[in-house]
Amino acid sequence: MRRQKAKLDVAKPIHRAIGIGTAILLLMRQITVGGVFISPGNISLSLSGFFTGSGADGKNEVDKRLLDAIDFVTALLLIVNELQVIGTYLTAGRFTIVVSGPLFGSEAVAGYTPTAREFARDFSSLVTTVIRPF
Amino acid sequence: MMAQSVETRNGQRAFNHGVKVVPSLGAVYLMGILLATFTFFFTKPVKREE
Repeated sequence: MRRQKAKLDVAKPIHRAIGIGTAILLLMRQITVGGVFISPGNISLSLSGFFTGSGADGKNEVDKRLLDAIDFVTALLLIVNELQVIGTYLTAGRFTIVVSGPLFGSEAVAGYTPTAREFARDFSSLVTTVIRPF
Repeated sequence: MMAQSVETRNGQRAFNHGVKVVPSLGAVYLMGILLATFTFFFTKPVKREE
């Protein structure tokens, strides 16, 4: 019997590309690990830099090298998909890219379109039933 | 201008020797909003198969 091919969700490669792009920005030193979010059972890294509207760097050479090493490891983990971009922290004039993954205790995150499709369908039915009669 | 070197923006100097790309405020907001929208609507936690 022929195996049925799983339908590729278009959001998955986009989400992967965002992860790879973030790793490239880390390796190019455009962004750096700027903070850590601690939640019950998991931690997330917050990545920021001049590219995202704010800058942070080590105070001395040792700190800078240490930060570079942490950035390098984070970039590698993003490339091998052990860490994923899980969201953003958007505030006045800057945003941060938040990454986490099974390595840090949280569930893996992947691209998924059905929820958005359902939202669009609900919104469409809302418009046709509530707004259109008027 | 979409982006410029950090040395020429607000008199700030680059922390590292590499060139830092500094997008305009509008570009920063746009990237943030797009990333937030994508991660909110188009991602979900998945269980990894052992």
